[in-house]
Amino acid sequence: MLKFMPLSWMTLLIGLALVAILGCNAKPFDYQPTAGEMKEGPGVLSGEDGELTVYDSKKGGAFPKDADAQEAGASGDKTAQTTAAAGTATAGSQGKAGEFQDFQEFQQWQQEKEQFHQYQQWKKSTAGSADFKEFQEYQQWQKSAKGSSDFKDFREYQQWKKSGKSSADYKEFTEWREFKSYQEWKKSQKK
Amino acid sequence: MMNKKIQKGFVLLAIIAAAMLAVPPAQAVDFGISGQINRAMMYVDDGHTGKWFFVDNENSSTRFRFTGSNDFENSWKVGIVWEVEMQSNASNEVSMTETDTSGITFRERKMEFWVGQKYGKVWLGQGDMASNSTSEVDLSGTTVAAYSSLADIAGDFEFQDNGAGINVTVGGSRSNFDGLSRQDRVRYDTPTFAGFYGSTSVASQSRWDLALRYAGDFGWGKLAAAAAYADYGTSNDTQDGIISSSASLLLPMGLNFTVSYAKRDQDDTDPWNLFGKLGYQFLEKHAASIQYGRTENLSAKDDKGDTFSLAYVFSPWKSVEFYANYTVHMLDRDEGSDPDDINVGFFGGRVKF
Repeated sequence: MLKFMPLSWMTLLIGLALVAILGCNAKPFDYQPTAGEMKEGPGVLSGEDGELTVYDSKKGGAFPKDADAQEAGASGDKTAQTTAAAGTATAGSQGKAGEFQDFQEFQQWQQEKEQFHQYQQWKKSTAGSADFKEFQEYQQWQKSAKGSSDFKDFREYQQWKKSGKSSADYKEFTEWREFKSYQEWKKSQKK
Repeated sequence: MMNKKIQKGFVLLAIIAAAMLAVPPAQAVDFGISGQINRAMMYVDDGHTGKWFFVDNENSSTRFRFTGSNDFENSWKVGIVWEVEMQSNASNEVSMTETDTSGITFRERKMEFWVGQKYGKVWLGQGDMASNSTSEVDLSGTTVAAYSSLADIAGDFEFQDNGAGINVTVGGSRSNFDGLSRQDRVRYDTPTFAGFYGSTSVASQSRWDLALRYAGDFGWGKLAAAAAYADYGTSNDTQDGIISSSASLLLPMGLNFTVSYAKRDQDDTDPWNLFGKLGYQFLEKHAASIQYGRTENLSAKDDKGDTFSLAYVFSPWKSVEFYANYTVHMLDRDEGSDPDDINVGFFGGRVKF
């Protein structure tokens, strides 16, 4: 046993490697072997979880896991069906589902507490407060009727605001608005 | 036709599923099904004959899997894995004389349960020995097309010399000596400490192994590595044990490096394998690599089995991959003239469902 291992130099090398790695203070990551193994990640039928859930006690029925359900809610026909299925399955226990969602959010808050405290500190800092002001403005803009969720649009909006209402473009824009109102009025006259 | 073991597996699975469904919801149970189809077109030219084949990619075979787990009080967790591969024309089983292998092969891969707690995890059943995959650590993103197990593509083709077979196949002249593979065994994994964890397993005929694995993110790159010693016990008269190792480094820019070294303690020959891979992941959906491997002393003392491969993988969607691979298998014989190289073109896709 082990007779063919050149133990002296191998032990030394492994020892040095261990010391080097431990000294570098690396963060562990979850390495899953891929060679020869089944593909990790989402599946074409099973969605984001990559696994068709036959049973999940958290929801009490046969349907995709939470991640799928949330993604489904965002967009698409498939997701609509999933949400419907989830809705059917949980129809009798909406109170419990709500309670469970609260619990999940509580767990998430516990996990992200440290990150959240860092965010609070950042908000208080000089750089943070400036950024946060812009973020609030962005939120306000999103809530407005004409706002979209596209950050590029928001940047254009900021540029436009900076150019000021006295600019030539803005004057033309006001005239164009008058023109549009005139067209609307003409249409209503014909009716 | 399914063998008795797999039939028993179905019964066991049904019992476990029923038991899980009967557990009160508060104990967090889940039970899921997943699988993949991995098919390819393969062109092989052995220097004498060239042919197309339609195969199942042995690099990551077509299969399906049932998994389930159940949380209990005091952090106890129990789970099952039942994974079966189902191949028609495996890429390492077709040859010039057998373009279509007979029937479908339905093989067990994993049929095991595990019990885990903060002190580690114990596995019982058919599954990975501790040393399995310690020659195959690879962060390149191209393992579906090419990795250190060089004979998975065209492994059953025979080298030709002036149009005559020399009785040595690709698979018979190269191997990554990847520990003791999967067996019916008991295995223990330690908890992870600073990215490290150890494993040991024991199977029948006094086979046992020890492995150490590491995975760490340094910020400037991710490193994964593994090393193992495996002992054949009384299962083999001529082979005593294997040392196997591999490491892979992935830089944030996508560049990656992989090496693997393994050696088998065998009467008179002591075959060994050295493998290296240089890869690049780019534009989120693409990965390419170039690799070279050499096995010495496997087909005969001082024989050298070299393999060179270029691989490319395109993942348009997370569940779908398309790949291409060009491989040359070479054999340098200690005695007699060297046979012709075997050139392989390999194109296919893997879809997870």
